[in-house]
Amino acid sequence: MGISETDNLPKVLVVSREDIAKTDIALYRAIENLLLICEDFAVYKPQDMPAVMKQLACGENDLSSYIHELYHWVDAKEFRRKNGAVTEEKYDEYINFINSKAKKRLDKLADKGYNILVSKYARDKVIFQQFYEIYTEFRTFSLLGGE
Amino acid sequence: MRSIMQGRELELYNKVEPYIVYPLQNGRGIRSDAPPEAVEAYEELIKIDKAKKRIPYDN
Repeated sequence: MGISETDNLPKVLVVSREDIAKTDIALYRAIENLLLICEDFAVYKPQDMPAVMKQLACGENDLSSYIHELYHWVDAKEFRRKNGAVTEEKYDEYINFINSKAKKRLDKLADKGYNILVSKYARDKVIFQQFYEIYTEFRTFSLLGGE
Repeated sequence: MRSIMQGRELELYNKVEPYIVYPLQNGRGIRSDAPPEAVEAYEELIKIDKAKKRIPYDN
């Protein structure tokens, strides 16, 4: 993942289903630097994969959601280096920054002929033009050697 | 964020999925030759997403 230092890694919280939106698996809160994962998806063996994980890149691997969210952390770190802390006031700027960067990278990958829509979740996010989610799914897929 | 689709959203998504395209066409993620029912489903998905009351600072 290109993580060379462990400073400021996010705190990981395993939360109950009631603590997050009912359709969420995991999320990263850049303002608080928190990685939240729903307890139902925190640890499992491939043979016990929850069925809904089929919608996500490398869902059979229980590390995939941590890796996906850590890529958001990597992107937030780049934003912080260039623009300072992610705050409520700068949240739109932060999202625009990571979305624009992701789109440029996706465009290059698409030009080279890569299949960048590696999961149902990634394809869904094309509809909402959340390129940072599509690119993060692609990176997760690439790192974990998805088929 | 990683989330999953279910219920009505999944039903609509399944109508749109064959026509999802990247790079975008005319600024949209649906093929310009998609049939009307897929376009309607696409637009309804966008409306549903906008109406969601999410915590605004998650990604």
